Amino acid sequence: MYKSTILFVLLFSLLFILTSEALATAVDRMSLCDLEVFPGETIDTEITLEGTESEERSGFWYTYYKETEGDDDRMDITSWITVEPKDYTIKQGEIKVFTVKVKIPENAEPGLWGAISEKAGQEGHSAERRTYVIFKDVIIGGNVYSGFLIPVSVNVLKNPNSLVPVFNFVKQNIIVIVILLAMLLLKKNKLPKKNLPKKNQRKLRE
Amino acid sequence: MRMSLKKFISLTIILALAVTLVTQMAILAADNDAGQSASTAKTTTFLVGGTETGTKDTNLTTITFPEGSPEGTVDAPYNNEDTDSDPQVLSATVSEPVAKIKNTHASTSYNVVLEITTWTNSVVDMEYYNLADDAANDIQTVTDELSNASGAARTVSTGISIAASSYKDLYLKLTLGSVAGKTGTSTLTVLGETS
Repeated sequence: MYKSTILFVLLFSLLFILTSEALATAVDRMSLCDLEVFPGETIDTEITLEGTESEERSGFWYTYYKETEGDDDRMDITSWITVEPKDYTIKQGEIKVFTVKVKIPENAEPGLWGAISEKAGQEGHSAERRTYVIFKDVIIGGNVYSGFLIPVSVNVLKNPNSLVPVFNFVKQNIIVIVILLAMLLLKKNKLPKKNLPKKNQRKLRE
Repeated sequence: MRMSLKKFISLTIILALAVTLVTQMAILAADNDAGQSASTAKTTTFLVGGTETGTKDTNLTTITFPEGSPEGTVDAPYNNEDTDSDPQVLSATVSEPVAKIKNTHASTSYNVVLEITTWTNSVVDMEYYNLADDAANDIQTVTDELSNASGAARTVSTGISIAASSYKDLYLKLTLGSVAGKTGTSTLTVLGETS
């Protein structure tokens, strides 16, 4: 009994040692890619940070464009992005929620912005990323930060044409419409006979 | 008030058309909502720790370069965990880094991106780095540029990734500017990115 108690205590201590390793800050999203949105709209996405280190850390969010030769003006969308709140402090076990706001300009052309491929958010595609949000933090008073790059890309959609529903409706109900038109035409052809003056009706019969 | 068969059929068709149109409009309105997709796997930032068995899993607070002559080279920085008694060593046989970078994630490897802010007081001309394999003891040179000219801020994608639960060794070196009697500061950031 005594031996088994000691064994249990030892195993329990080992478990504690294995799980008490210092970490840094945990994040619940690794990419914000292919956000689908119309010109002029703003899309909000929540990101959560969790403090995992025993000492309090102080940090902030910012945007970053990875400039690459041959890029066109669709790659840098840092001016579209804000993170609220920007600054933070975080303690062990604390969870903080941030909102990444992406505001699409009214005149943005449809298509992909902020990355060269729709696969940029996937593992193995880091070379296809251009625009990021970054958080980084440090033990208060220090000068060695650690953080994470989170790629952002936006798929700007075409503004819906107001006539689209009408076109779709006609396309999907073409048979019914044809029948209806035929009925209306038939009815219209009958009407003139009744409304014609008697003289004309006689002429018509002759 | 009796309705003819023709009128009844016409009204039914018109009613069906109206219902279809309303449904189509509703579907299109729903399509206008912005959708999004994003990864949700939780990850942790790199741990930038000391260089010894007892310090490599403890986050550093500071890295300090000792005083040097103007336009000279400083290649023996130290961290606050190992202290100035255990600085970086460049050697063909017993090299030792200034810090170890650990990927604390249990299953995913991450790319390393290094970033520094501009050195104050123009004390630094250039800063360099070498990200070596864990426990390599033959590191003699530190030549990859970490700063821009005149110690200006820079973000560098190292092209090196760290496997899950593994370490890399970070070596740093400075060439000082021509100003004398000044102290400057900068921050170093070690960023992770999915590969």
